[in-house]
Amino acid sequence: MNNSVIRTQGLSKRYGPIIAVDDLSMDVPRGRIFGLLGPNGSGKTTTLSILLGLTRQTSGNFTLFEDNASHTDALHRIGAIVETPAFYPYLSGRNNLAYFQAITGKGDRQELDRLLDTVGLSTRANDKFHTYSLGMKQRLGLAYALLGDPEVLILDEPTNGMDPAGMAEIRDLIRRLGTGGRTVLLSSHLLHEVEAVCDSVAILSRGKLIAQGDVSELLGAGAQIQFRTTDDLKAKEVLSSVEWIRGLEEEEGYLVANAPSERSGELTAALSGAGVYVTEMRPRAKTLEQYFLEVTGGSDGELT
Amino acid sequence: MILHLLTLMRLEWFKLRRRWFPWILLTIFVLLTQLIVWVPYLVYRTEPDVGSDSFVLPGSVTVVISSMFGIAIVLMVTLASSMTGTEYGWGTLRTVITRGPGRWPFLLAKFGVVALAGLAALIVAAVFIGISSIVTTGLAENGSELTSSGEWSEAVLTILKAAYVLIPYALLAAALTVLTSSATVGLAITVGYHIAEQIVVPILIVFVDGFDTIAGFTLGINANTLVSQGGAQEFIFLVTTIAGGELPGTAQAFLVLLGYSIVFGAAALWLFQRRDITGAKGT
Repeated sequence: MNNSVIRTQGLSKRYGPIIAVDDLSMDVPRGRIFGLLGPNGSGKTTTLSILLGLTRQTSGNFTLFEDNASHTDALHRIGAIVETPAFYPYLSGRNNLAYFQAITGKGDRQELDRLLDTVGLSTRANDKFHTYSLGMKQRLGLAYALLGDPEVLILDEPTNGMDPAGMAEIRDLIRRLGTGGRTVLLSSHLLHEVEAVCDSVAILSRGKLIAQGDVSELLGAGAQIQFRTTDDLKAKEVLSSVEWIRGLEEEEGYLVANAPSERSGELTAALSGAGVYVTEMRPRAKTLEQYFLEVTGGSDGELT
Repeated sequence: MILHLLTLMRLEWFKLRRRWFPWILLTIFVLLTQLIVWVPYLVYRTEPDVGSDSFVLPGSVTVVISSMFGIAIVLMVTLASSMTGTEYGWGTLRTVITRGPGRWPFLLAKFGVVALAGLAALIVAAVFIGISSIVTTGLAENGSELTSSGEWSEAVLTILKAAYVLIPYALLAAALTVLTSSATVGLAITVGYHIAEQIVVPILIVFVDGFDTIAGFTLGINANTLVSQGGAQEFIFLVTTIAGGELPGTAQAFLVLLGYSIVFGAAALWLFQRRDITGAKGT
């Protein structure tokens, strides 16, 4: 049984000669926090816009919920913010939410109060939207996305414009929202945000999907071995000829070998055979940043 | 579907009432119609021969509304462009469509509310014209002897016809606003077309053989035919007569305007359905 809540197949979007999304096939698993990671201009927002019916794809197709619901019905089950949330500047935060709540006809006044409280906007709820800071606009956007208790949340750069404390608060909120069977699709160019919040990730670069999978699998816990030796120079020379070591670097006084941690015994044996002895050794997981640089060949360095 | 459309119209009305802009437009319209009541009254006080049609009920409603409907068109076009274009400018269109109301129902609700707002503005202006007419008639020396050439039924019909005439202009403005994603451009092109048509068509009628037949299907002449009681219709009638043609009849004018409304409305809906929706653009 396929458990994808969003599935794209060969999705492409061209703007004249520019390819914003290039043959994107991606599955967003149900009940997970799924990160869509990529630098600015990698096609994240365009992909989300296509899914939400704001932009028409040039080719390819996508399905939402896989239950043959119409796109309009599917949208009623999705809460989304795309880029900076836009609301009516002459209406208060509460009236904006009330307006969007009324479009689908679901929810009541208590829901508005609860959501405004959840995102920390209760005290400013009756102020006009045009008086809000960017961070407050983002918070109202989150409240808007949560209207009607949607099955799927699509959040595009939800912490843009927030101070560090606000970012931490929103990330914590997203993690909580991702429990209880709700699916969250989080688009971000912030590596640490995706790494801290998401269970699964798809990495986009120049409109193309370059990797997809569980964060823990992609980062491959134990995919690197970090160690010190009695003679680092000789150790490098010895290990450069070992076939299953895909790379060897020096980092902060340690040697780091790109090799599965279960082969650490073989690594030790190879070194001791050459008269080099290991003084300290431990397995190490890659960071998402390292993984990203690895899969993009270091050519796409706009992520932060 | 109908219920959904009515809900969206109620929500559009909710937004409209909370903006300053429509109230400013309404105030301008009411004040300008008041000028057409009070200026003739002041002139009448010194020169009773000029007549009292503009400030004696019920004819004053017909005379003032039909005299001011050119202004009403400009104000209506401004409202329609603003209601459609600000959604692009503020970027709220994306937030709305993401909520899943459907593109056609959302735009249709806007059309409905613009049409209702036009009718409401005409009724409000008529009420103020009525109040001013009562005041001016009371102030006139021989007020109780003044009689109007018009009928109440005619006044009501003029309001309804004026509201009907405003619709194709509003839809043209909406279509151009959707096409350009800009309230300012939509407004400018529609008002420009409205003014240009008033100038160019009479000239072409006089100088181009057979153009009077084509003119009989233009927006401006049919709008004038349906509503104008005063100078505008007389001018066009004069021009048409010089050229040997005739003004379109009321039934033809009604149908031609209906045709324009359908074409402009369909164009706006088609464009709105097809085009990508991006973030805030500014107006």
